[in-house]
Amino acid sequence: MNTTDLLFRYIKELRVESSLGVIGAAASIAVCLAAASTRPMESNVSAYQFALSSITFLIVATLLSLCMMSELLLKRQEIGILRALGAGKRFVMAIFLSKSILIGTLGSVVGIAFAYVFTIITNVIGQTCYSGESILRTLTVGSAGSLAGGLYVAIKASRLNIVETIRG
Amino acid sequence: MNIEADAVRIRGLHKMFGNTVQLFGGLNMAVKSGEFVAVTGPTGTGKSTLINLISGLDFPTKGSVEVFGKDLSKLKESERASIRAKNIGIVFQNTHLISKLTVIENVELPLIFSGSSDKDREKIAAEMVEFIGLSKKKHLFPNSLSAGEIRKVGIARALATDPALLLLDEPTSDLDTSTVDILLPLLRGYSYLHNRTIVLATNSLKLAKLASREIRLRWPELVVDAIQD
Repeated sequence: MNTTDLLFRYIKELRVESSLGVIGAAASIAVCLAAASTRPMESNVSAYQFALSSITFLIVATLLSLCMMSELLLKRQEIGILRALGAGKRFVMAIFLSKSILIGTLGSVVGIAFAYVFTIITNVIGQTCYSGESILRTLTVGSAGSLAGGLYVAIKASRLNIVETIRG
Repeated sequence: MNIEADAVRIRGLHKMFGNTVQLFGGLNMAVKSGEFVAVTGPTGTGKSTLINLISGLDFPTKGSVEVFGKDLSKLKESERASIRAKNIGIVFQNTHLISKLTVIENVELPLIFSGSSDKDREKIAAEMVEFIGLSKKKHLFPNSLSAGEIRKVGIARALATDPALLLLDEPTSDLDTSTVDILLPLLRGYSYLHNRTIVLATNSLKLAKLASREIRLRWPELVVDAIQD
């Protein structure tokens, strides 16, 4: 086992909270993409897309920070032990950041898949403008949101008082 | 890190908890390199806190704690982490193994953080697990072990990096008599043969007698004004 193996061991441990994070991110991404496929007046397209992306970013960041915060509460003591044994702050941050990005990206991919299905249905009903560009933008927004949400918790985790966390 | 300097030097140590409890009352002490010192005293006198202060996990309210000539409170967190990984082995009062890692992986942990090569890490961890007599259980998780076995793994983990300073906080609390009888000479041998410094916090007189010196901690002072407030 090396540092990467150890990091991976923490990341791959997906709990119920992680699944909720994936579902939440997927839902917000799907809604964002689906909403982006319906266009308001041509002159307002950029503002509309910016507003949608901002809302999605905030929802994903908030969801992921809540999800990672519950992870942190469960892992407090282990984080303290790792730090006491010589793990640096960067390693602790890497655990939370990697996991947050994994959950966010997974959620984004699932969300895009949902949105794709949704677009097929709406295409039958009426015309939509679902494009590769909007998929890429949404994926970027989802990943950026998960990074922002995870970063907050990662910084918090790296600053935990080691003695207090070890005491439990 | 200057291994030739005193392993531990404490000057005018005070540690406040809240506004009422003041531990150590300006404690001054030094532990020479290669010395085996027992820190004794009743519960609540700050034995575990002293171990935390020496390992750089906690900081004094007043005074200084130097380890191998370095005041840990003045170092960056990354430097303290590096010193803990490479030079300090800690056996916690409640051992604290990582539940998702097997016995051998738990022993490997400090070797990972100290930057040992993959080959060395696996070899050393296997040797340590064999040394504590848990070779057959090396791939088991901590929840399959008895309290005594968990304690042994904690000790193996602390010794894995061959640290210059070994800190033990009540290391025999979960061990049976026969294991204690094996462990105690081993600790003494580790100190004398390898010239390693050991600071042992304990209530056990039997354990304290093994050490070359005993430091008895005083009862904490209660700050009366703060209590009345």
